[in-house]
Amino acid sequence: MKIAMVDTTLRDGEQSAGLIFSAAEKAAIAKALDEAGVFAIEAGIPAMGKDEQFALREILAHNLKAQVIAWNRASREDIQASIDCGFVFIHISVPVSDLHINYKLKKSREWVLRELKDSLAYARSFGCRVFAGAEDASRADEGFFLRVAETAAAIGAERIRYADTVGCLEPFKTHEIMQRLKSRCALPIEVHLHNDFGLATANAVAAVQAGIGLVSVTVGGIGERAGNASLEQVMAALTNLHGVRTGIKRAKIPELAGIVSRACGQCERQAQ
Amino acid sequence: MEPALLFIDQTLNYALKSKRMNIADLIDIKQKIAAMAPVIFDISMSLLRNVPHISEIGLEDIRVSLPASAAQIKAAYDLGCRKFEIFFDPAGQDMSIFHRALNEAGRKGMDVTWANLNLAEYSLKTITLFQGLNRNYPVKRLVVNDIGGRLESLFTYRTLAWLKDVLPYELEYHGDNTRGLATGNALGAIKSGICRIAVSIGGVGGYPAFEEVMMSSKYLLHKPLSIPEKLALDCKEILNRMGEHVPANKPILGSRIFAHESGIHVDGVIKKSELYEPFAPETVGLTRTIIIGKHSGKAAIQQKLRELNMDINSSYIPLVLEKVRQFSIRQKCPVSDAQLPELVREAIL
Repeated sequence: MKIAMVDTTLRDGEQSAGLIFSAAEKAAIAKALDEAGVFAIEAGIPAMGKDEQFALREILAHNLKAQVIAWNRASREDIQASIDCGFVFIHISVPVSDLHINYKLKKSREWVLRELKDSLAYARSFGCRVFAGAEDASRADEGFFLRVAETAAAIGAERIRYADTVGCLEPFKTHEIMQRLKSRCALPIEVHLHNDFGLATANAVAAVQAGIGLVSVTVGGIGERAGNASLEQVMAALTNLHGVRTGIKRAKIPELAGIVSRACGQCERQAQ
Repeated sequence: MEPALLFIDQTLNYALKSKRMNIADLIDIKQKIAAMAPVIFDISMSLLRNVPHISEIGLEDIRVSLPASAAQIKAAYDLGCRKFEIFFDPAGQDMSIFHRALNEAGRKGMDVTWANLNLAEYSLKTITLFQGLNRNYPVKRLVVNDIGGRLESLFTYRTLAWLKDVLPYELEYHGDNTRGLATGNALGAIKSGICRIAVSIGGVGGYPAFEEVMMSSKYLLHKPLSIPEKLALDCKEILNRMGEHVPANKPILGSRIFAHESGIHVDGVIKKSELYEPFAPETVGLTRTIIIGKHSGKAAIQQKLRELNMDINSSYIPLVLEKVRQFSIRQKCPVSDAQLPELVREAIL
C-alpha cells in the first residue's frame, strides 16, 4: 500500500507559538522535504503579508517535484494573494464543527458551504488545483463533513483534509470514523492530527489501517500546542509495522531533521 | 462497577538506574507519584539492594523485579519486600529451580506476578505453558509486554482482549515507546479491559507517559479518574529533579502547549477557549499565554494591549500588527511585552 505524506512543517509547524523561520530557512526546508520524497509541501499562508509572500516565491522558484501548496481561508483576498505569488496548488480551509461555526464565525453551516463554493470556484477560475480543508472535523457532525466534501468535489477539489484540530481523537475512534467515512466521502481524505494527548502517531497508523491514503505531518512533530503527527515517527511506524510505502527516503531524514531543528533552535536561543 | 485503573510506575526504577539520586530525593519523587493516582512501583532487585537505607522509602507499595531464584526471593523478602515480579521463560527455563523459588514465595504468602509474555512474539506453546503453570502455582497475574514497541494500538487491543479470555490470569500491560505508539497501545490495553498499566512520568525509560495515559483515559476513553490539580507542575518537578529536559511542546506538560500566537487561534481562544484547546489549562495546573509575533492577527494585538493596559484607537491596530510582524521576523523571535510599547509608538507616529 502506498501512502502520500503531506508535510506542513512550513505552515502548521511554523505556527508553533514563538517559532519563526527566515525566508532562507523556509526555502532550505522545502528543498530538503522535496529531496526526502514528501508528496506535498504546505508552504505557508500568502495572506500573512509581504514577508511571507517573499519567502513563498523563493520556494516556488525552486520548481520542486512535490506539490507546493498555499494555505487559505475561504476568502477571495486570501486566494488572490496565493495566486499573485504564483501558486497552482491551493488549499482552502473552512471550519466544519458547529462549535467553530457558531462561536468563531458566528455564521451558519449554509454560509460555510457558500463561502467554500465561491472561493473554490474563484481559485479554479485561475486554473488552480484545489483542496478543501475541514477544520475541527473530529468534533463535527459527520453528515456535514460529507456535505462539505460533496460540495468541494462538485467544484473540482481533489481531496479533503479531515483535521483533528485539538487532538481529541484516539486510535480506536480514528479507525472507526475513517472506516465509515472513506467509502461515503466524495473525495480522498487526508488526515491531519494533533498531538495534545500524545496520540498523533498512533492515530495516523489507525487511519492508514482504515484505508486512508494521505497523512499530514511535520518534521519533528512541531506545530500548534503539543504539535502535529511527526513525519519521522509516522514513516517509521508505517513502514516497520505495516510495510506501507511512504515514498520517503530514509537516508535523507537526518539532514532534513537537522535543518528544521537548527532553524527551531536558533529561534529558541533568540527568545532567551 | 468498572474496576479502577492501577498504574505500575517505572519512574523510580529509571531514577535509580540512570541517575545518582539520594534517598531523600527518591522518597520525595515516590510520594509525589503516589499522590497522583493508585500506583505501585516496580524496582529491580539489583538496584534495590544497592540503595543505602532503602527501607526508609516505604516498601509496602514497591514490587521488586527479579529472576526466578530462591536465593534472590529470600534476599528480597529479608529486605522487607512482599510484592514480586518474577522474570522467567516457561519454555526455556529449568522448572525445578522455578518450583523451589515459587514454593519459597508461596510459603511466605507473597504477592507474585509472572513476567513476561512478549505480545509481538508469543506462541501457542507459551500460552499453553502459562495456562499449565496456573494449575501448579498460586500466581494470579501475568505481565504482557511489547519489547521494542513493535506493535500498534488495534493489534494490541484485539490480542489482549483474546489473551484475557484464554489466560487464567489477571493481565498487566507494559508498553514501549520506541516508535511513538506507547500511549495509544496503553489505551488499547485499557480498552481490552486490562486495569494494570505500566507507565513513567514523561515517558522516561521508554514507557507510556503517565500523564498522557491518565489524561487520555479520562478525557478520551471516559474512565472514572481524578486528575491531580497540578498534574503538569508535579510531573515537571519530578523530571527536573531527575535532570530530564522537558520539551516546550511535550503533551500535557510542555511550557508552550497553551501558548497561542497564530491570528486564527488567538481570535478563537478569546471567543471561546474550547475552540483551540482540548482541555482547559487549569485542568493540569498550567496557564494560557498569548504570544505576539509573525503569525499574529488583530485580535491578538488588541488582547495584548488590553493586558498591558494600553488603550489605543482601533484604527491603529493594523499598523501595529504590521510593525509586530516585521520586527519579529527581523529578530527571529516573538515581540516581548517590553518591546511592544515602542512598536506601538512607532505605528502611531
